[in-house]
Amino acid sequence: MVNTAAALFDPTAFQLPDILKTVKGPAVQSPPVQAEVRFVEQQLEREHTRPQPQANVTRNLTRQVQQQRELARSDQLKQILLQAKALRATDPSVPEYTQGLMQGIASLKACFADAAAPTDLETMNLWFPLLKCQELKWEALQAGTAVDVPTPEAKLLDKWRRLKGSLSAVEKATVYQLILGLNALIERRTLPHNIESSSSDPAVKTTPAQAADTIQTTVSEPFDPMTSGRQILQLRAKILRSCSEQEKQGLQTQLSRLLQQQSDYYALRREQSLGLHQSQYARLCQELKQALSAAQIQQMREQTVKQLAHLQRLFDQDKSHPGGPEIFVSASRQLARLGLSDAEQVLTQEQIQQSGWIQGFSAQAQASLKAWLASFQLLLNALKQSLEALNQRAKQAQADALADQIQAAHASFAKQSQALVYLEQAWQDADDPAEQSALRQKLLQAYAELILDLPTP
Amino acid sequence: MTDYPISEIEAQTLRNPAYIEQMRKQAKTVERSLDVPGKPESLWPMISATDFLNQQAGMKTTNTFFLQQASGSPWMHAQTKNAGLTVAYEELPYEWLAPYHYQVERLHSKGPLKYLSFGVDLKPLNAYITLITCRIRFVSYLPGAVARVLVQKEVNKFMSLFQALAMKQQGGQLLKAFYTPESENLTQINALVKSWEAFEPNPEIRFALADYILRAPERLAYRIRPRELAEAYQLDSLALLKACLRLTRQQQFHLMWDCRCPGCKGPKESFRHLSELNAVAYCESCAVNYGVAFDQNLELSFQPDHQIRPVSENYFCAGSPANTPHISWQANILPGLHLTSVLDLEPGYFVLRTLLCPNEITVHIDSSGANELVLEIQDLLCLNGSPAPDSICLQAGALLKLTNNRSVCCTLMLEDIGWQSQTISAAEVQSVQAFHDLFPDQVLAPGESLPLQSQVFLLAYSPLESDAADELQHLCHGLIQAHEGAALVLSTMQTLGIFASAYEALAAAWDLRQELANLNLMYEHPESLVLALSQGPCEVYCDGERLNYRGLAIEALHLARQQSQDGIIASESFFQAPSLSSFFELAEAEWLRLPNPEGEDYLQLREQAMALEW
Repeated sequence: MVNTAAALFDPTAFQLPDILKTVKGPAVQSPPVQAEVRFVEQQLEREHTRPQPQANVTRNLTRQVQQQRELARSDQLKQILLQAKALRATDPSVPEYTQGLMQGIASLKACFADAAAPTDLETMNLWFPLLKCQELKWEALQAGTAVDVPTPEAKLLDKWRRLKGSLSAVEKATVYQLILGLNALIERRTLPHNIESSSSDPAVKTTPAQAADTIQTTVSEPFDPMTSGRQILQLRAKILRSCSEQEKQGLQTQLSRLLQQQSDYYALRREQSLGLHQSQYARLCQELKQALSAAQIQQMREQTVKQLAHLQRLFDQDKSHPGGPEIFVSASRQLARLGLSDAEQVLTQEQIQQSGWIQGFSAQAQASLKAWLASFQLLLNALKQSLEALNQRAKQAQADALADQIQAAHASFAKQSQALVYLEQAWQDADDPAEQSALRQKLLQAYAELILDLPTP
Repeated sequence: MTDYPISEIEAQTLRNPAYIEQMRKQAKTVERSLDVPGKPESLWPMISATDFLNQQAGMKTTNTFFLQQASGSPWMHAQTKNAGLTVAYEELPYEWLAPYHYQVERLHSKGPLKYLSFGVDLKPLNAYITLITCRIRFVSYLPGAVARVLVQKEVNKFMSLFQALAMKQQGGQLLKAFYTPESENLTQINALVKSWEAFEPNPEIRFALADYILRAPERLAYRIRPRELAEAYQLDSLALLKACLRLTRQQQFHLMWDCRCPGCKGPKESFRHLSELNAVAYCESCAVNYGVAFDQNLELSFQPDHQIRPVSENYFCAGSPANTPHISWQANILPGLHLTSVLDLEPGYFVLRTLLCPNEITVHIDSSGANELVLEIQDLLCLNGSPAPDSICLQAGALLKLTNNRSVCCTLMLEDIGWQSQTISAAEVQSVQAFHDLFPDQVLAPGESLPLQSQVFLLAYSPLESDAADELQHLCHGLIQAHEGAALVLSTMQTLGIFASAYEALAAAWDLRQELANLNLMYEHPESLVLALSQGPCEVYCDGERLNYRGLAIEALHLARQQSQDGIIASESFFQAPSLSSFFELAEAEWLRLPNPEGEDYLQLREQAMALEW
């Protein structure tokens, strides 16, 4: 890791593009130093004050300090990323959406403020203009004007990917994802009828009590499945190595709570995803009422299959219901058979199976799944009708084309018949044997062309 | 080795079976019984801790000497002071059946007594009350009435102690039972807790350490065993170990490497530095040389600095049953005599052995077992004139009938296989990053190596040397530590994780895969990372200025690495452990298996690897 003096970085001397020169952005304070980081730093300070500090111990502790700082900042960045992800389930037109975006940018700035700034010039030279780009977006959001992603940002982000500086790979990757995520959210703000992408993560809360409410705009305590997954692993390991029954019980309680939170999280994500997909199906049904092209319908089917795969993955988290993912595999099969000759038979068969799998779920989950299934059936029906209409239109077009073809052939035949009549008359009227022979040849040629042009059975 | 204080002939005279029998016949008995709250199981750890009981009863420390014998247990001679008089005696090994009974016999060479037998019985009266009987049998030089009064006084003293201990109801915890009252040391404890603030953030851990050091009996405070302490104070043993390591760096404690004897489990050789260690140690109470294994009997403990509390390892009773809690039953049989004992033991597996015979018997206590076992002690432990089978099943309460056909006294013992030692082994310490960071010079002497029965490793390997290699190595370092492992950088492409538990190693591997998926968003070409896991025997040795590993488990790691270009590959033992099965149910990663080291597939792989690399 590079560790040059970032103090050499002079923001006033930095050549910023004109668009970013006057940008100020939100006022933020540097984040408080976490207790764990402070503790290791003190340990290192003490090592330096020893009468004879051991070089290898000092080196080891310096690495520990760096690791603790990175860990703390990675966690902060991941929290901001989660907050941003939670915004994806919010209506972009509500003020909370804009506030959430502004908060995301401010938190990102705060992460690297003052003493927490990167410690090398190479990183600072990239981070400074990148931050200015975010501040520009923040100012536009505050002013309520149109927000554009500043032109230099793409190039800066590309360089950021390849940066070898003082930040850890996890920190860099999270900043990268966060900026891209914020841009996607800003773009979504300008597209009010945006269809959720198949990988969308709806906002979730951690307790079932909260789950009863409607989806909120921000999440006060976002639940990170990855962090909690790590915590669960650590707790299980602690239980395995613990020698005290009392401690084990305490850890078991923590573990149960975390597992419950995780279970609730996935249950809620399943619920919310089903809800989101239902509203999307309703929108697709509306769109299907208009005369759509085959390519548009095909695109819709592909998108729906992707969403079903997302639901399948989500239901795969719930190991207590092995039939969960099968419901969506079956739905994909139904979509695939739609429009084929055996469609009706397959659809009926798959629907019976789906009803059977649903029986294994709790009453609440059953209700959500049934509602989703009903909306999916409506979509299937709408798609079926559209496909039938499309099919009908195609058949009509084919018939019309054939009629045109026959009419053209008829016209051509009439024209050729007329020409034959004239030729025959001329041949009969000719007295000169040479002329008669030439006309005879022409007549035979015309007859041959007529026969060739006749439609084949 | 210190010279035995009396001549061998003198000792032999005292230990003569006829003399012992004569003393037993002449002995007068003084006994007293008392009902106390609690079950024998919870009272036993305290009531059998004669070492601390003697100290509490105001007795002086004992000096013990051992005389090695051609066969069997070494003889033990003890010297102490009583009321200003020197008292010396030959002590026969303690006899006991945990948690119901123990006794010891002493043949005096100096002092007012000729013979003394001290015994305690614990009889459950119901689920809540136990009848404790303390019995002293003695032969004295003093006039009978005077001796009886003095002995009665001793019995009373012990009964008061038993009553006080039972009233404390420490839930069977030996550690806190013999603490001095808190009020005596409160100011000192608080001062110590305060002064350690900068070194340990958790106040409960600081208090536990200060409380223990300043209140525990000196012999316990002399050797701080983090796992034992963690259990007594209901704390995380790993957090406590890390605190001890940091405090050691600040000269508050000192490291102590104890080589524990596999027979008596006692720390028979101790060193401050790993480089002072030898692969073979000697136990004078068992009179055996024993090998030191890094993960079996080499323990790290901590000794408080003398400025905090000056401590030395004084014994008040070296042969106490509490010093060998892994032995559930022990008995002495004089030559030519018979002994019948009721094995009132909980179901489980035990090993019946004696230092006199080379063979041992695994005794399975189970309801389906026999109700009697008749054994003869000859050159071997024999059943019906033939060497006894390796394994025997007996029911709880079965009769064990023994005859000693040898010419020397025989001490037989039943070791509980299920007994868990509260040690933190040297191998476990190696899996703590703080140890590597703070004590990088704690390595074995050059040329020295120690075996490990089983060690868990994780090797993170980037197959292609890329720009991201150092970033990946940094990530591996961080996540190995996050899962309580220690990271050893082997090269720019390889990081070795050393773990105390297979679960944590798998968790680290899993976590690394998850994070790698995130990081790959940053790279133009996705980085691959092979994560190889192995568990098995190996050897630790000094490699330059650091410890390193070699042997089967390391060989398996490198084989595993060659079998995969990406993903997690683990040796078969990981897939067999029920506690790890949850990992292999996770569908998101592909778990590859490395064939079993004993199978043909493994040998083939090994040959291929050797052809390729070695």
